[in-house]
Amino acid sequence: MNSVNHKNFCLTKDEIWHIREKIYHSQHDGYFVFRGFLDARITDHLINYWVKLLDPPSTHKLFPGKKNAFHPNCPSYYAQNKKNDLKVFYNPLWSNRHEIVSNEVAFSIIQLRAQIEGKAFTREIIPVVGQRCVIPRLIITKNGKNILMPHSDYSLDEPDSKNIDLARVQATLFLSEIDQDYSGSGFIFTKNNGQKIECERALKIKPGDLLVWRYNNVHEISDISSSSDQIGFVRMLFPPESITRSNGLGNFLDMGKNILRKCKRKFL
Amino acid sequence: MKREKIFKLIDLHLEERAGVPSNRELMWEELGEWQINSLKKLGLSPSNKLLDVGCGPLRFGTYAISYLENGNYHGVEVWEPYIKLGKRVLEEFGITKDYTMKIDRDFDYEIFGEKFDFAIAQSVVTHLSVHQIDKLLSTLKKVMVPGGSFLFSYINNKFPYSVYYEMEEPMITPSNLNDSFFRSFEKKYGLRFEKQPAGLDSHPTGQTVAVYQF
Repeated sequence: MNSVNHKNFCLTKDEIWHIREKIYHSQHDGYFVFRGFLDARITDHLINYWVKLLDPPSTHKLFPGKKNAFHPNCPSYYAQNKKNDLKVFYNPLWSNRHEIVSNEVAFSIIQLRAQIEGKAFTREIIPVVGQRCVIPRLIITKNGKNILMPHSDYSLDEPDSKNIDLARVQATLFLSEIDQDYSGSGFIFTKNNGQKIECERALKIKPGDLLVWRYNNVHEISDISSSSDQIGFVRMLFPPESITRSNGLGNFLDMGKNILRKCKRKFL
Repeated sequence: MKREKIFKLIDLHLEERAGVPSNRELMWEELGEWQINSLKKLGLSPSNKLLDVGCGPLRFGTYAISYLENGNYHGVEVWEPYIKLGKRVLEEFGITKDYTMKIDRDFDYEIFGEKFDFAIAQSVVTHLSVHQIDKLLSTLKKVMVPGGSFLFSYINNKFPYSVYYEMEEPMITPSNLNDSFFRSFEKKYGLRFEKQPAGLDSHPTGQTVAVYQF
C-alpha cells in the first residue's frame, strides 16, 4: 500500500477493498492501522497546543451536555473532570478557528473514513438539524478507572433500528505513547472474532498512528494512569453527533419564521 | 434474519467487492418476502416468466427462483459485481435452479429473447430520471405479454436529489412523480396504471407502490 498520511489520503480501489476486508469481514480483525498518519512535527504541534498551551475558557465554552450542545454555528466546547484528570475538547469544524492544524487533520481523516465506508465525504461535515455531523473531539485522559465502559455503537443491539449502521467505522488518532506518556489498559478493542486486544501494546501504536476500527465492535478503556510530569493518553476521535436546533432566542425566531412561511404557502 | 446470516452476506459482498454493509443485508427478508408475496397476490404462479429489474445480488432472486419453475427468473442489473455475488448468494441459500442474470444499462430487455408475465422494479424507479422511466416503460412494452403486470415502488419527492451509490454510481431521484405523471404513460404505451393496488401490503420502507398492466 502507498503511504497514506494527512496530506495524501486518497486511496486506490484496491487499497479501499483491502482495508474494507480487514475491517468488515468476519474472518479478519475489525481494524486497520495507518502508521505515521501524522509526522512527528504535526504530532508535537498538536500536543503543544492542546495539552500545554491552551487556556480552554478563552477559546471554548463549557460543554452543556450532549442533548442540546451541537447545532449549526455552535461554539467549540470543553469539559473537564478534575477528579479523573480528564479534558475533552469538542471542536466543530466551523467553530475551531483557533487551531487550524487539527481542523485540517480532521478533514483528512473524515475523508479517508468516507472512502472506507463508501459514503459521501460531504454527508456529515455540514450541520443540518435532525441529521448527524462529525464533531472532532480531542481527549486527554491522565488518570482513572472504567473510563469508557465496554459498549458498541450502531450495532444490531441498538434499541432503535434507525441507529443500526454496520458500515460505520471510527478512527482514533493517537497523539501520545503508552508506557511513556501514560500506562494502563489504553484502548481495548474486541476483534471480529471476539478476542479483546489492548491496542497500543498489541499493535505497537506510536504517536501519529491512526487506528480505523469497526464502530459496531465492543470497545472500552478500563484504566489509565500517568504522573504529573506525563501528558497522559491524548487522542482525537471523530464521532458523528446529532445536530439539534439551537436553544434560546434563535430557536423562537426560527419557529416564527417557519409559521410565517407555512401561512404564506397556504394563502398564496 | 439471524446474525450469522447477516454477517455471512456481508462477507460475500466484501469477497466479491460488491459493497460495504448496508440495509441490503438488514432488510433482506423483509423486502424479499414483501416482493414475492406482492407478486403472488397479483397472480404470479410458478409457470410464469418473471423479469426482475435492478435485481441486485439476487435477494428477491432467492425467493423467486425457488418459487418459479426452472429458468423462469430473469434478472437485470447495472452493478457488475452483483453477477458473481448473486451466484454465491444462491449457493449460500442452497438454490440450484436455473436462472438468467445480465448486466444492462440501456433498458435492453429484448436480449433475454423472452416474453414476461410479470416484471418487478423494487426501489429502482425511485432512482431513475424521468427520461429513464419513459425508456423503461417503452422497453417493457416490447417484452411483456398483453395483460402482464409490472410492480414497482417509487417516492414522490418535492424536489429532485441525487444518490451516489457506493460512491461509484451517480443516480437521480426525480421530483413530481405524481399520479398524473404515471397516468401520462397510459395513453402513450397503452397501459393501465393502478396506485397502491388493493390487497398488497404497504412497502417495508414506506415507498409508494403501483402496478402497470400491459
